[in-house]
Amino acid sequence: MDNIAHARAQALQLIEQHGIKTAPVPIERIARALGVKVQYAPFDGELSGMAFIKDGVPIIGVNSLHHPNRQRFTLAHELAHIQLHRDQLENAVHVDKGSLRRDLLSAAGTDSTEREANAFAAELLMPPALLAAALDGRTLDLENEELVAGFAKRFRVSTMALQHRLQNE
Amino acid sequence: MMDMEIYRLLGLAVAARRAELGLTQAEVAAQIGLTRASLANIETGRQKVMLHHVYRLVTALKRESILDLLPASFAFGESAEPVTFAGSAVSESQKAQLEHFVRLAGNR
Repeated sequence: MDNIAHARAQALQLIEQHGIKTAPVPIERIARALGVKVQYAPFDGELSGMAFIKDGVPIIGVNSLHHPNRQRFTLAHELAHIQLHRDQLENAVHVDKGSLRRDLLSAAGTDSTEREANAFAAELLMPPALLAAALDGRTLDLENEELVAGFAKRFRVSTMALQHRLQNE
Repeated sequence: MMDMEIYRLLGLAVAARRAELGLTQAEVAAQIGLTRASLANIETGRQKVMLHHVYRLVTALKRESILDLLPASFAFGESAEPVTFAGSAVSESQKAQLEHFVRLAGNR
């Protein structure tokens, strides 16, 4: 049983609480405001990030070798685990490889916590209100690569994350 | 066993850098005055390393400083309980890397 709607609602609540009105969403500031320690380190290229609790403090590790946009998505994804799946972090360090892998994108693939974390991250980094404001009544043609790239840059996300977000609206 | 963790980290760094340079274990071992088997054991963290070998490794792997292969400081035995992982499956070498991060995390 996954709870995508709940994950999205939690992300939107953070956007409101922090009064985020313009892109890019200050994801690291939000995480720190929630009492999360964010630390960057050069991990093996396959690993994107991790979330765990140490001495009661939630900690997120992000692979510093990845592209900054990917690091932002990783951070948002790990923040989801802390906000939504904290009970599971009490006994084990949660490790994530690529969170936007093809198998994670398919609805059938992988477990509900990862899908929830991706939904949370997408909503947090690309909130509907900010997307709508940026679109300003236009529809974003996903085949217009230049336009998609421009939007991705504005939100500081990968074009892949943006495309996936728009297709799952 | 905690003592071996620093050797695992060194081994990981050596193996990664050697692969980056496209050198064989035999080529690097020859420059350092070790057998290929010893270097293989060092890379897997099963063999303790002499200090002069560490410096020779730095040179052989075209690095500037031992800090390119080793952390500046290391907390031995701190939080000795094993770290449990969940989520994506990780290899032994990734696990060593992540364990080290978890042990140091929050202290920096």
